[in-house]
Amino acid sequence: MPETRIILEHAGADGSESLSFYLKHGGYEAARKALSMKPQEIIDAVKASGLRGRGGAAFPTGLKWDFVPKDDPRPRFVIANCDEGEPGTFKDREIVEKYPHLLLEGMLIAARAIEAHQGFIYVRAEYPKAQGILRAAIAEAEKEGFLGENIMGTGFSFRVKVYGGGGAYICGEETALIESLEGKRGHPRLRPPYPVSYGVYGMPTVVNNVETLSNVPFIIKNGPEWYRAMGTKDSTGTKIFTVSGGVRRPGVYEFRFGDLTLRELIDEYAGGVKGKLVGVIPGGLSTPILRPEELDVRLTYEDIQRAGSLLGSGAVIVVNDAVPLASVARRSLEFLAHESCGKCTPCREGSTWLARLFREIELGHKNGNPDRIRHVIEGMRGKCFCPLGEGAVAVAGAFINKYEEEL
Amino acid sequence: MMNGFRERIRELKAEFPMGDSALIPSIHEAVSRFGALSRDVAVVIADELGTKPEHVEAVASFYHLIKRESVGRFHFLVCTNLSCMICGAYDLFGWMKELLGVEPGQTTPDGLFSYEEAECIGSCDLAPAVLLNGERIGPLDTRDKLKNLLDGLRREVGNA
Ligand SMILES: Cc1cc2nc3c(=O)[nH]c(=O)nc-3n(C[C@H](O)[C@H](O)[C@H](O)COP(=O)(O)O)c2cc1C
Ligand code: SF4
Ligand code: FES
Repeated sequence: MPETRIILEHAGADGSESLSFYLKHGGYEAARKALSMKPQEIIDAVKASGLRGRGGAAFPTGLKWDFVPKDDPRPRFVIANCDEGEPGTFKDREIVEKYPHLLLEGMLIAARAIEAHQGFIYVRAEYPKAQGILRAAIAEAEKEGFLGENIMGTGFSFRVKVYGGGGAYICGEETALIESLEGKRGHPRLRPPYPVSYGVYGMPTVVNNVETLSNVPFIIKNGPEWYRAMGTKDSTGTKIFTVSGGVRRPGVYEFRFGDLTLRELIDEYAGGVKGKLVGVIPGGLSTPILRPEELDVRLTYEDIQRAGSLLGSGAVIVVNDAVPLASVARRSLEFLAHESCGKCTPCREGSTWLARLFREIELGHKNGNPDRIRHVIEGMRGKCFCPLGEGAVAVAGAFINKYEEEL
Repeated sequence: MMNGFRERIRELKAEFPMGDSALIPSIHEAVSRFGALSRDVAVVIADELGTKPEHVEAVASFYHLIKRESVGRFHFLVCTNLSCMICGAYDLFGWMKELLGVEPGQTTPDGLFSYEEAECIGSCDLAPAVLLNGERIGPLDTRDKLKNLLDGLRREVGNA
């Protein structure tokens, strides 16, 4: 099954980051169409497309937009989440560095749908190049009337600002991101209220992942039926996968959902495993590892979930025997402990304990430690304030329950 | 020097619907101008944004990449997260230490180099990867590759 490159079709071609290139390939046609539609018609089209969020939580995008209160005079905001801190993930980087106008067009359509006039792109501190490319793209688009005041002569205005993060994984979580954007430490907020009703500055705010927003122009241009025809009932459209770790050809691949299995992606596209296969983390570090015999699973949200993990951000990390599995487990928990924001005790203390206990196992002290890990897990499960802590529970549980013998 | 900086903070403040949003951009500005966020600079930022210097420092301290002490002219973030670790990041980290002769967080006596361990820098396709003053470089999977890179940087400075 060949790749189906829709979002990445032109990304990386000579000059693909420029406005002139983008316009030559039909750029901003979808926005022109959207600006002639009623906001509700845009929302209905995105709903009908079945598009779900690509940032990890897979929430239906049209539904999120529909939740923005309608008869509410407060200003609204659109935020593109380009924090991309999930280890293994580099897909949003590909989009914004190589094809930034696609994101800007998606944001413009989202702005029209929820009647927002200001947008932000929250870009991680590790991506200064992407920040520069986005700033240049925004300036170019404003100059040519595709952003700013009176866009394409329609009277609609929308400005976009790039906001550079400070290096904190938790700021990818949408409410922590909003806190950060307000000049604070990145601690998640209690939800509800959700950002759609109480977001940045307390105003209705839609936060979407870069890849999610980059799908929107195609849905508007080609219609929701065209989009729905790709993928499965519950996973429509295409997904960008980033494959890395113990493979011969690490990289970025785009497929229709369900067109292939995890094993096929690794063997046929990523060049196969270097050394001996130990397991695969299918959706970024925060998703539970799958064993070698669990890889004949179709790449869709629902199939990976049935297999006991999550599609997450589509970051496939192949774990081979180059390092001991206990080191992989320790490093995973060390990451989550390091990035725990410290707001709630179960995660702050629990993730630190998990990292320490896996470190003990890594050093060869296995006695009783798997049970201690299970004990800590039970102390955390269901008690963490945000999904980072619950992710630590799931990740630690998978290492210990699926690999107890091998650790 | 501080005058230009004050001006810049005011500009940043005007760019956002609420001035509070200018805090982190102001801190970034401070780090890029002065190399790190010192107490003096925190006082200036707090003054311009109507907050306390303690708040400026508290926010700064939350973020891993906001420098509070100055670093070498060439600063490396060496990723040791999963994909890089699998591809040899700990070897790379060891070569760093050996070739530079300083511990992570320290700067070489000539002021040129410093390095620190980092979480995933979004360059897993280049594993084991580093971010060198914001630029992605990899795979640095042999000692020679790292050595050539460092020698090249030294030459660049020597020629300048
Ligand atoms: C710890 C944590 C980190 C996250 N990091 C990101 C991220 O880097 N990028 C992203 O788009 N979403 C991230 N998310 C998900 C966001 O909270 C949010 O669901 C997403 O941005 C919504 O956009 P979407 O519906 O288009 O996916 C993260 C969530 C958690 C709990
Ligand atoms: S679960 Fe962890 S990251 Fe989330 S709020 Fe609690 S301490 Fe912070
Ligand atoms: S794991 Fe090293 S760059 Fe992602």
